[in-house]
Amino acid sequence: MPWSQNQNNNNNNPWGRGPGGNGNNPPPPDLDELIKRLQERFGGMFGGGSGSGNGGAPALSKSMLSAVVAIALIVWLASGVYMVAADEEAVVLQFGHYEETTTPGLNWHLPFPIETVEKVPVTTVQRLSVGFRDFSDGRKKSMPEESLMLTKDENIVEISFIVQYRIHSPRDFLFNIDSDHAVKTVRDVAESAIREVIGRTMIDDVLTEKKAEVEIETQQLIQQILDSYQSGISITTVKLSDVQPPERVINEFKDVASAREDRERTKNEAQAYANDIIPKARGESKKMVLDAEGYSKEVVDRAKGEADRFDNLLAAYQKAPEVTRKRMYLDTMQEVLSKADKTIIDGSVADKVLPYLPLDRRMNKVEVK
Amino acid sequence: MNAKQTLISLIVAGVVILIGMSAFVVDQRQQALVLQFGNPIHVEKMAGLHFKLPWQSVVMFDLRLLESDAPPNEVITKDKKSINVDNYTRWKIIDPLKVFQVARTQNGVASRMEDVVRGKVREVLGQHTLHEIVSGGEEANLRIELMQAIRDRADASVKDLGIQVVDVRIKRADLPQENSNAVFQRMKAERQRIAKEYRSEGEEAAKEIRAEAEKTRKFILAEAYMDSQIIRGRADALTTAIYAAAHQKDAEFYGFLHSLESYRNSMVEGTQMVISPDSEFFDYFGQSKK
Repeated sequence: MPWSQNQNNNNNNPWGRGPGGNGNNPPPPDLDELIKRLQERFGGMFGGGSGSGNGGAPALSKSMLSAVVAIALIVWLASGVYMVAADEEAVVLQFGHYEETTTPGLNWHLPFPIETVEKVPVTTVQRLSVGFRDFSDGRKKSMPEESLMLTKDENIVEISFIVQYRIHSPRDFLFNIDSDHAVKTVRDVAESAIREVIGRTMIDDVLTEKKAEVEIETQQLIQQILDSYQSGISITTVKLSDVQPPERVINEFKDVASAREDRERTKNEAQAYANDIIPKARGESKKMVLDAEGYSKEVVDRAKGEADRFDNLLAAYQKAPEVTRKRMYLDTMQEVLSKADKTIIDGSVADKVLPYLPLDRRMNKVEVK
Repeated sequence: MNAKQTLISLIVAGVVILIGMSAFVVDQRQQALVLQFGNPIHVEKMAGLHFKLPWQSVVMFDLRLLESDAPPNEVITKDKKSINVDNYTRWKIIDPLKVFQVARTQNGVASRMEDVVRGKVREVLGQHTLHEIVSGGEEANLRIELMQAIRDRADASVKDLGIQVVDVRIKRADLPQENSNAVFQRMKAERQRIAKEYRSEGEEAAKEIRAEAEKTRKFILAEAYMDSQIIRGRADALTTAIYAAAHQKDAEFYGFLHSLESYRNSMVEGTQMVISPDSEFFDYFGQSKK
């Protein structure tokens, strides 16, 4: 536990908590080094160890001493200069008490042990995955105990997501929460938040159109909880990376998707059939009407023509009915008989002969009186 | 001279050591409890440089919000089902003096608090059914209410430990194995039902679309047939009237003419005819003999 370490530090070191624990701190001014160097420098003056029985110690030069003190002071003051990188902010503590937050650039604080500095990256967006862990070599390991969760309608759904966050207030981040375990804090909050959000959402919504809403709600909830801890952390994104039904029921879910496709396909096929037969029927209908109109014109005109012909013929006939009648008859008979294959049988023998005629070859027999 | 120098050195060293033993720094993250021969004297919550008597000692406690994540906890619900609840707690030390008296250390008090929270989780969740805990039942915010109830009860119970329970949140409330099997079975059945429904809906829509199309086709054709028959009928009527008007002028002649026409039309090339010489056509056939 870092806490107990702190306690030990404090018991051993009367200057309180050293600037440890947070990897961002500058190394403390190395006093041991300084003292050692001073000892070397003054070694001769103070007799250089107990064993020497040399009585004639060199006279202590006052100016030399003050020069040494001045140099030591300058070195000490210079140790308070520190650099804050562009993506950082630094928090200055005076005897452990928060003094100020400084911005990127070259800064100076009262040297150790009066003030210490802790640097916190504020623009860097940190990334955290819930439901899986990805390793630097690209491998992904799923964490079913994190990713499986229950929906409102008591279905189990598998969700992995990524949370991105940054530190917006170094002071809150360092002093209000256990910043050494900030990742764990964000992860705990994220896990709790996603379950709360999914717990009030139906599985079909989670799997389909409400993904974005889940992301937004989860982000808001995580932020709200972290704010209630005054953690100084801002959530920049919550991105669902993988939302799917659990392995054991995935086939059934896929089948639902294909059933939905089937439904559309069946409908489309029927629509195609409708689109096929209706225009054909319309065509057929137009044809029927046009045929009828054609027929109408045909028969009427024919009738008119024939009527006119009859009228004319009648007028001519009435001038010489007997002769005309005879002529017409004979003309017709001539025409008819010239085409026909004739057999002439006298009426008196017809009864006897007819049964023997090979009538099967004389199918189109017509008896003319 | 030498003795005096030594004396001054000794005094300076003594003062330095004394200051070193008296001064202590309280970090922004910490609060200090000053002890005298093991007895707590006073609490220092302000960060900064502080002094104490050289023989007094200091114990530091955290001032920040602390985390505690106990292992999952098996809870028996109101409907006698067991459920694995994984929760975390956020807490802080309010009174280092009490913490020191009760548990000596921060770790000690943390484990006492975890026991309390575990008990409260069981107590509060035990009053609800599995369904309510897992999905909030009918109430939208039940989950939040449950977490708040656990927090409030736990906080009330840890007052005398000198700490405050700030937040208790359920990370997971997992169904036990046999229940998740049931859930998977139900999910399967439900999906199968939905799939069947989709397919039947497809059939339904398709049948309707086809029937509608057939109906439309019949309508169109029936109307067309009706129209065409009306047109043909009118034409026939007109034709009949025209013929009648003409033929009425001499019905006998029309009959004659029409018969001739019929003969002509019914005789095609090669028609077999058996003719009696008595026929009118042969009126003059045998007369040359007479």
